[in-house]
Amino acid sequence: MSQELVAELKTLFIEGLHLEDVNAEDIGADEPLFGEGLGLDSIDALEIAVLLDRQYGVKITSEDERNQEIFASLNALAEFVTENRSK
Amino acid sequence: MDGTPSAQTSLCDLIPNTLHSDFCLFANGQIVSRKDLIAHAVALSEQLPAKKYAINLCQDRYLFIVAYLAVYLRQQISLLPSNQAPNTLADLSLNYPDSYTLGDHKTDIDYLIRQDLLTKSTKPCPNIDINRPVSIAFTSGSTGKPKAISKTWREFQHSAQLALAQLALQKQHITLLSTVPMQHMYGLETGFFWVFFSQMTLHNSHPFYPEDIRNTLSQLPNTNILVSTPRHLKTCSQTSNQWPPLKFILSSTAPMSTALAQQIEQSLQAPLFELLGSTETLSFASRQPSQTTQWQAYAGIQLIQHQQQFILQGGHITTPITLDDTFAIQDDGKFSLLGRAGDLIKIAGKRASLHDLNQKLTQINGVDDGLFFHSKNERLSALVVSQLPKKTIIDQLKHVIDPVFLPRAIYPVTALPRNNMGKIRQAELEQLIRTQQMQASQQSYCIPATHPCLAGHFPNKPIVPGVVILNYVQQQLLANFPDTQIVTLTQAKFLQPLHPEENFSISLSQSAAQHIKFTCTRENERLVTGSFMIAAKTEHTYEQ
Repeated sequence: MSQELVAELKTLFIEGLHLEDVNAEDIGADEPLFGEGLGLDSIDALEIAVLLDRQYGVKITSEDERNQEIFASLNALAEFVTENRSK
Repeated sequence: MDGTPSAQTSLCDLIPNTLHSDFCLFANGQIVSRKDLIAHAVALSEQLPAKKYAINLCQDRYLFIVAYLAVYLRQQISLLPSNQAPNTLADLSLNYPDSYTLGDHKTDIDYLIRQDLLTKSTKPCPNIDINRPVSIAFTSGSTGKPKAISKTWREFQHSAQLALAQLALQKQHITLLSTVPMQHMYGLETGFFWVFFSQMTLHNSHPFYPEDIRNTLSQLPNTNILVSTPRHLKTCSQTSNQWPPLKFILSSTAPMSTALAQQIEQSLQAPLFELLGSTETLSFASRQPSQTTQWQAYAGIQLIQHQQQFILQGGHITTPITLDDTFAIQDDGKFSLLGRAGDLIKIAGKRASLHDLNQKLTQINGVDDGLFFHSKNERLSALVVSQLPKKTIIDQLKHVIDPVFLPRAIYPVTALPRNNMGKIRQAELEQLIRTQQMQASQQSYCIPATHPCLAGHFPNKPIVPGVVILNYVQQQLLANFPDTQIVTLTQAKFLQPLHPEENFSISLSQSAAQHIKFTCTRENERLVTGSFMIAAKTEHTYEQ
């Protein structure tokens, strides 16, 4: 697992989602992103879709049955980005 | 409504020419007609529990509509909660004891409805009383208490017909794709009543991500109309994609700026129209925001000003309604929205009152005082006077407010600037907020040993010149106060030397409107303190 990519995603989300109260070290790479854990909601999910599209050319869809898995943690998301990135 | 005479009419007679045309298109290609919908609803209505109210929690659009209609045919009233949080539902059951929940996904519901359990009744088309309330929706009024808004079938029908006429959508054979929940008034009006009273077909889907919307559109054969919100449409326009042809885009729930509207029209290659309305009024005006800021009310509806109040009347508005907003009305009757009166806030189509949110915050055991304020990205943050950890406050708030209103940041302070009447002193509050935000965004800097200012200075143990540090302070100050300029450095004390390659940070605080104090620290050691005088940037700067 690329620790660099996980760190990059942390910065991308903190800046892109304006998570003022969150520091990169507060985000556990295995913690859930939505609900408990980082506490993101569906508006953030939309923003994340745009951030990932712009930064990595990765498309998120609801039909993807792995969504639960993909958004389960930053580690899982980083893995998904690595597999699907086009930039 | 009490006192309104009943008006019985056959449901099928309301749409004599379109009864057999396509009403809903499913993802698997299956199609149901308006007649099928009515037959499904009649069959379901006979099986519903014998109670007065039904809380409709269906997420599937078609099942929501079948249930909505069935409840109405059964002489019951649908309750439409703005969210499905456990507390909201518990409150609703408490306020409407003679109610049951009706849903399509397995949760704790009283009556489960599923596509494969629907049957078609062969009975003749039922009569309805269009003056009877069909549903009650809930909105946060200016007092903060949820207000129950009851609407009759007649009001929905009339508003839909006026909207369809204004947008020339009555006779169009197009498919409507929506991202808005059916429980939201905008979703209900467009997704059910507009489709029912036109020749449109509803696509039974719930696309969420831009890529979902694009995929769904590319699978649809006809020309399409996309019903969505500024936030959704914005994200669609930000993705690097080719969009399938669209006939029409519709937006509501939050104001759309001219620039964003132009960006969306350009990227999705379709005209974008915007609706104005609320739970109380239903939609009553439209505009094309890329072209104009002026709203055009539906035919027969007038907005009139009476002293400081704005009153809406005519059309589907049965009794004049005083609006919460302020407007500028032109001679031709078109109008522009000037602002939201009072403290109503809106995020992601959900409405709340700041007053109410503040009350919920200060009701938490251990929070002495506190208030919410507008933060970045259209979200809220909060100032609190409390010893409680931030997480505890958030956890408590989660029980009582909708998640979209949860504070993005909580700033602990020792007191809020209140006068002796307990009223907030606004100017001081703004200073306090700004100071808190500046402290939170404290950045760390480091002057590299290769910095040109160090060349030739104390070759063995150079220190960073004070003017270089002050330059960093100025940059951070101007970043925090983008509309100001620095008038003068009023004070600077250099307490300790800073060496290259050492990390240091700058914190700013606003001690008066034009006075900014700064402190530069290395770990916990103060290096430089001082203050700047600032002034608002003006177009005409004075000669020195």
